[in-house]
Amino acid sequence: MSGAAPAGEPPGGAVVIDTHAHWYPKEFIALLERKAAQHGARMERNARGVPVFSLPGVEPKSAMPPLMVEPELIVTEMERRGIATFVLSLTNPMVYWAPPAFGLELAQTWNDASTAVHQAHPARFIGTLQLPMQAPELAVEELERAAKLPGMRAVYLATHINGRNLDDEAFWPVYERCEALGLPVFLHPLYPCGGERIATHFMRNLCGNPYENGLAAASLVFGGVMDAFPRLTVMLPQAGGTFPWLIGRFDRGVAVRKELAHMKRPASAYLRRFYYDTVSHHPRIMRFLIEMVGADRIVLGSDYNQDMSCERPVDFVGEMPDLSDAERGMILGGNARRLLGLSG
Amino acid sequence: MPIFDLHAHWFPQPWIDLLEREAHMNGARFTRNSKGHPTIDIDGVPLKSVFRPDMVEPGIMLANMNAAKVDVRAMSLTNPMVYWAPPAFGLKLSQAYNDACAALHAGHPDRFIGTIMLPLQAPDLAVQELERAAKLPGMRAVYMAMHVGGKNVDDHALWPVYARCEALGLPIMMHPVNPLGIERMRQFHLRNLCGNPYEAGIAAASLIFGGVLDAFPRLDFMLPHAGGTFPWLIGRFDRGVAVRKELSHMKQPASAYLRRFYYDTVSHEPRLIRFLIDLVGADRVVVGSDYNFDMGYDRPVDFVDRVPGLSERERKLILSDNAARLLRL
Repeated sequence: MSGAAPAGEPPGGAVVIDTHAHWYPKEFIALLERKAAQHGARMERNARGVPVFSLPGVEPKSAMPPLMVEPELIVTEMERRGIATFVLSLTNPMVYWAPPAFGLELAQTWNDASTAVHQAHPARFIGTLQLPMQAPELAVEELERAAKLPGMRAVYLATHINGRNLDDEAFWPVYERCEALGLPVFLHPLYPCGGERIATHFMRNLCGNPYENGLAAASLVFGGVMDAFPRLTVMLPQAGGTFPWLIGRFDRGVAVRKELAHMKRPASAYLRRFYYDTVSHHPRIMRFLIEMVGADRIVLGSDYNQDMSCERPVDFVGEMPDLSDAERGMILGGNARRLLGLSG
Repeated sequence: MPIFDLHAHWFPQPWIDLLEREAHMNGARFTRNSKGHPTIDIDGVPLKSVFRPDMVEPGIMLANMNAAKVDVRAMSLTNPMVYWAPPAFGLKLSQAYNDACAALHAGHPDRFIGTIMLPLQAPDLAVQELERAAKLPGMRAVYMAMHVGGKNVDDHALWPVYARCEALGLPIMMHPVNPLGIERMRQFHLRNLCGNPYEAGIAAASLIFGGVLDAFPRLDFMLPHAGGTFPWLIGRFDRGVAVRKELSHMKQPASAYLRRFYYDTVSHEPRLIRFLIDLVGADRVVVGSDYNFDMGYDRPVDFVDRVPGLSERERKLILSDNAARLLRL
């Protein structure tokens, strides 16, 4: 990435990078519209003409409104929010639901669209790689290809792959290549576990999503992934979800439980192997998180453009108690630049 | 200043004896492990419960309390509770537990408080047993799992129980059993490490969003494991209330309910308790130990003394005053 920072510079000169922003490229939507039905999924349009993807019996459906599709609209929204750069990612339905060959095609389409939008707006958009993790050998193949595309600076993974936790050794070749390529892994919840127990009161999202982050982090820590790949960095959305708040319990488990007798260090020794975005909707909880993991591990996120997103993420960072200017600059953009290996 | 521990588990001998006599007629298998400790194996319940002497015999429990510097323990049942049983046997198990608790209190009135177990799988029987057991000496709270047979705790079938708890001035102390998401939590003790605190978030959300706390404004709830995940999701819950149609019935943000709960200290992270105090107030935190599980505290009072920046006033609230207020002692 090069060129002058566009509008969106807060006091202190930090270039604001939003690491949690979702995008459905029109090419990706078009591919779903052509082929999703033949693979058991459904594409339809809602009353407003917005494409909606669904899998039978699976919640939520995925609506793809213009603000999450059209780059020009996204740029306008970024300017309004004071964001210089979006790190774009896919979100539900991701691509794991599809048969491997179609999953690969979807991933390739997403990755090609991501690099194209980066090239059209190099200071505005960074891409994250989508991989067909349901077929790890295809995932590695696509990783090798897409890592070479301009502007692709992270790998995006769900917190489970069709019900398999992330420590499954089938996924280790992907982690190995991520580490070798210097690409951080950004995680995101998808179709959380919990079934009927989280079916009411929007608990599927309010609880289910942060629960997924805790399960994913625990799986990576306890399942040996963080040890096997010591230079691999993982980003957790929603301020780490439940993970940081369970760390005492995890440490106690390591100290006393036979299921964790293989652990050479407490779970808390891994807290700083993760980055955490700011999507907690609670400035004081962010202050607590900074005290737990360090300000150098927090990156701005918004969850653009879901209703559960933080619409004014820069203002939100400003509301965090007792933040020094240096910490603020790190959270707004400095940490993300380091995490993503961006110059400047 | 008597020091209270509100999270301590007990399997009374008469309750175990009842299981030994009748579990096999009620879909469960009572056996003994290689150490001779009674165990119960229940269809559909993943965790096999073992009843060790330290969680059965009051003499051992008292010695542990002395070593742990705890004056009074509120004893409660834990896994497998009684909801798995056919209603009549669930009632019988509850009665056996409650009678044993009252007897334990009568034998050591300054050391043990009892919590009432109810057959919530049959709410009418639960209300009946609540009326009876609430009159027993030393029974100062109702103990309840975070779901009843997979139904969340805002289920309207449970509201008559809540109405009576409120009228009787009995707080409800909650505890996880059989957590959700087991299919993803089979390894690394995740069923406990994640599943238990996840249950607390679901239970608190259900009570808040399902209208229980509004319908019963004087009802107090205690959450174990320092509230589990609940306090740390409060910003997300508030955002949900602000933007989601599923929560458009809410008249206040979720955070307005944070102080409707009490929280124990079983977090295993002193700094987290400091954050919790800053979030909910020192007057809402009570000592817990999770006696006598490996995931509990051997020295719950020493843990409180490791909480950073604790004033003498806060310390006294957490060790003693809050529990006395919650239990209306």
